Amino acid sequence: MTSATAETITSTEETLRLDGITVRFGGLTALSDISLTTTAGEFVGLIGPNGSGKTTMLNVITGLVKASAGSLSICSSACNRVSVHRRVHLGLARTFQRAMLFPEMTVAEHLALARDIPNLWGRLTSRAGDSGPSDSDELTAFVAAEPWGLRPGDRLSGLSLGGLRIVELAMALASQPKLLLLDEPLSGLDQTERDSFGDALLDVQRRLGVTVVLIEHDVESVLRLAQRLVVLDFGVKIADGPAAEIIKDPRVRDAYFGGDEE
Amino acid sequence: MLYLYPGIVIGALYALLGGSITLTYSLTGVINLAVGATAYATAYLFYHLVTVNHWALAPAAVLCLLAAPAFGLLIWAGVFRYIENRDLIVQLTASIGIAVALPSLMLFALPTENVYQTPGIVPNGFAVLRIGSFNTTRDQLAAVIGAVVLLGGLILAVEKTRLGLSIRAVVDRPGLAAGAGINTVRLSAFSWILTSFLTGAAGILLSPLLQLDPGIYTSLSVAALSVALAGRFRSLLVTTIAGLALGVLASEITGYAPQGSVIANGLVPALPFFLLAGLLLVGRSSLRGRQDAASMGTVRAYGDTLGQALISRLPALGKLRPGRFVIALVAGAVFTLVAMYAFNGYWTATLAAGIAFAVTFLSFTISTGNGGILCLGQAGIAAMGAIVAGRLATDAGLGLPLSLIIAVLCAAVCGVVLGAVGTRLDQVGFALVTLAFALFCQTFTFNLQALIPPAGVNYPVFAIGGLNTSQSDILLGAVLFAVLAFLVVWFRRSRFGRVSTAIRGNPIEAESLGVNVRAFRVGVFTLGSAIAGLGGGLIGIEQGNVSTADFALLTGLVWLAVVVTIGVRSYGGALVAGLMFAIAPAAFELVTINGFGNLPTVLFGLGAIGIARDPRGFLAQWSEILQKLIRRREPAQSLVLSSGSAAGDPVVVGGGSRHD
Repeated sequence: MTSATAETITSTEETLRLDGITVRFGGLTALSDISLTTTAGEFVGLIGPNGSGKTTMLNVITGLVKASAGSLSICSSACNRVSVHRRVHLGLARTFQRAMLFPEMTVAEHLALARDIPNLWGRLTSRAGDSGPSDSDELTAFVAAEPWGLRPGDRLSGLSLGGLRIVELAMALASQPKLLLLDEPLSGLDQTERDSFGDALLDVQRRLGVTVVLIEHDVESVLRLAQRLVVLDFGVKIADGPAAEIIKDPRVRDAYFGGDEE
Repeated sequence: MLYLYPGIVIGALYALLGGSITLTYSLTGVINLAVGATAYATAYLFYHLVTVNHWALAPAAVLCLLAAPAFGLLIWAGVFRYIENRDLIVQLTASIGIAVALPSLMLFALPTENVYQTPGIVPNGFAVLRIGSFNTTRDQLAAVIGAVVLLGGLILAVEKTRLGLSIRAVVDRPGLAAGAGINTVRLSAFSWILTSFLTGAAGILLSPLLQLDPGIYTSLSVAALSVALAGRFRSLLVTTIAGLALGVLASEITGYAPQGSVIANGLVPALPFFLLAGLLLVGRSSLRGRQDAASMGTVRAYGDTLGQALISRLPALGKLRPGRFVIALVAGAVFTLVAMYAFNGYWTATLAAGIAFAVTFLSFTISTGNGGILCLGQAGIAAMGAIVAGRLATDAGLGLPLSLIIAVLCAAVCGVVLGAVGTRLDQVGFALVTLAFALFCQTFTFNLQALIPPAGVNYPVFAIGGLNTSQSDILLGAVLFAVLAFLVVWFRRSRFGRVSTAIRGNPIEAESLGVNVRAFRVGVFTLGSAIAGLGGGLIGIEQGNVSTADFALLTGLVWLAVVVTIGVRSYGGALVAGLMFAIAPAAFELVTINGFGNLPTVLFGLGAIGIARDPRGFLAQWSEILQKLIRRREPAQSLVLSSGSAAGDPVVVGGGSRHD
C-alpha cells in the first residue's frame, strides 16, 4: 500500500473550459449542456454510471467527437474547430479505455515515437535508433520502476495490462502535457498495480503541475487520487465539487450507487 | 421523351446490380466489386452455350441462372465467410481478386474467337415492337420486364416475408439479430446465392445491349456501386430510383449531344464517376453505417485494420544495415547485367517491361504497403505520367529527362488532390475515390483526342551509349528502381516509417499523440502517385507508344492483384510482381493453345483472393517457410537463442504481436 494521498496543488491558470457542451447522436443526447473549468495542477475525478457520457466527454475534449453545441477551450485557446493533433500541441494528452498501442513496437520504440512526433520534420535526417531528447532516460526510468520493471527492448506482446497502461501513460507524458485525460486506466489491474499506478499519477501531477481528469469506476481509488469530483448521469452534470463532499451528496449516491451504499 | 425508354432499360439493370451490392453489404458487410465480373461470366457462359454449343435459349438460360447462384455459394464458402469480420479493405481486395480472375477464367476455360454479337434471353431479340407511342426491341423489353420482376420481387420479399424481417433485423443490428436467434451465417450464405443470381440475371439481360467485354462489365461495377451508395447501402428503393435516374440521364445526354462529341463519348460514360465522387464527398458517413451501428458514441477500436494485417511481419526499425545494402546492390547489378546480355531480343524486351512495371508497382509499396491506403486507380495516375512524358518529349521536344520530371510532378499534383479528397473519408471511401478516378480517366480523360491521339502517344527512341533500346531501358529502369527501393527502405526505417507504422496500426492513438494523420497520409499517397507517374513514363519509354488500353481500369486492378499476391510490403515484392506481370503473359504467349493467354490473369486474381487467408503475400510466406526449414536444421541451442533475440527477428515480431 502507499502513503500517498490527494493534495490540493493548483494555480489559477486555466487548462480546460467547457461551456454548454451538448452532444447528440441522432435522437440520443449523450451530453447535455455540460460546463466545466479546470486549473493547472487539479486532479479531477469524472465519475458516473455506465452510459452517463464520461468517455463521450473525453472524446469531445480530444476532438474525436464533435459537440453539437457549446464551446471548448484548452489552455485558453478556443478548440471547437481545432483538429485532434493540434489539441495535442496545445497541451492535451490522453489515454484510452482500451490500451490502444502498437503491438509490433518495443517499449523504447513507443517512447521514441511519442518523443519524435512534436518535431518530426526536424528529425528527418536522423535515424530511428538515435536517442531522443534529454527526458528519454526519465521516461525509461518511469516505466522501469517497480512493479512494472519494463526494459526498453520489451515487446508489447509480452506485457501485462498494467505494463501496457504505464507505457501508454509514459507516451502521453512525453509531450509534457498541461492537461492529461485518463479513461479508466486502473480497470483490469490488481490492487498492487492500482496503488502503484495511482502513486505514479500523483507524483506526475505534483512534479509537472499537470491537470489530470480521470475516469474511474472504483470510487475508493478516485477518492484517494482526486481532489475534485464531477459526476455525470444520463449526460447531465449532477454534481461538481470537493471529492469528500460530493461523494456524500444524496443525488450522487442515488445515481451512482442506487441509494443503497453507505 | 425519345431517349427516356432506352435510359430506363439500362437504368433498371444498373439498379439490379446496385441492389445486389446493397443486399450483400447489408447482410455481410462486404462491398462486392465483382458484380460486373459475375455478370460478365454469366453472360459469357450464356453466349458460349447458345452460340458455340448451339443450345436452345431456354435451357441455356436455366443453366446459367443455376450456375450464378452456385458460384455465389462457392465464393462465400471459399472466401467471404472467412473475412466477414475482417477489415473492409481486406474484403475489398478479395472481391477485386474475383473481379480480375473470373472473366479471364471464363475465357481460359471456354475459349472462343472474337465475340461479335451476343444473344438475348428471348428469340429474335432485335425485332422491334411498337407499344403505344414508342418502339422497343424484344431484348430491351425483356431487360425491363426482367429487372422489374426481380427487383420488385426482392423489395417485396424484404418488406413482406419472414425472411425479409430477418434480413432487416440483421441490416439494422447484426449483433442483436444474432442474439435473437437469427442464423446470420445461413443468412450470409443465402445473400451470396441470391445476389449472385440477381447479378447473373442482369448479365444475361445486358448481354445483347452491351458489348460482351470484361472491361465494360468492370465499369458497370462502378455504376452499380454509385447507385448502391445513393441508397446508402441500405435502401433498395432508393438504389432502384438512383439506377433509373442514372440510366435516363445518360441516355438523354447521349441522345441530345452531338454525335462523337466529348460530351457524348466522354461525359456520359463518366457519369457514374460524378455520382460516386459526389456521394462520397457529400455523405461521408455512408460507408460507416453498418460497422459503427453498434458502437455509437464510442471511438471505434482499430484492432483489425489492413494496416495491422499487412504489418503482421515487420522488420525491426532501426539502422540500415550496410552489409545487406551492399549485398542488395551487388545482386541488383548482377541481375541487371544478366537481364541486359543473357537473353535474346524477345526476353530482353520482356525483362525491360518487367522492370518498368516494377518501378510502377513500387507506388503500391509506398501507398498501400507503407501507408495502408488501398489505391484502385494507380493505372490512371501512371497513365497521366505516361501521357505527359510522351507528349512533352515527342511533340514539345523537351527531351526525355525533363519530360519525365514534369510527368512526375503532374502525377504528384494528382496525388495531392486525390489524397486531399480521399483522406476526408475512411479507408474504403479513399479506395473508392481512387476507383472513381480510374473510371474518370478511362471514360473521360482518355477519350479526349487533344490529349491522346487515336494512334496513342509516341515516345522518342531511347538508347544509352552503344546499348540497344531494350538494354538501355533495363539499365534506366534498374537504376531508378534501385534508388527508389533505397528510399523505400530508408522511409520504413526512419522516424517517418515509425510514425507511418503507428498510423496504420492505430490512427486514433497516433492522432492523439499529435500526429497530423491526414497530412501524413496525403504525403504518402502523393509520393506513391509520383512513383506511379514515373513508372508510367518508363512503361512508355519501353513500349515506344502508349494507348488508353495500357492503363484501363481493369488493368489497374490486375496490377493491384499481382502486387498483393506477391507482397505489397517490400520492394522485393514490387520487383518480383513487375517481372511476373511481364514474363508470365510473354511465356504464355508462346503456348499456342487457345485461351492460355488468360491464365496469368486468373492466377493473379486468385492470388489476390488469397489475401483473405494471408495478407502478407507469397514472398513473405515463402520467406517464413524457408526460415522454418533453416531453423529445423539448426541445433536446439540456436533455436532458443533465435527466439530469445526477438528484437530484430521479423518472424517473432508477428508471432504474438496482437494484444487485447
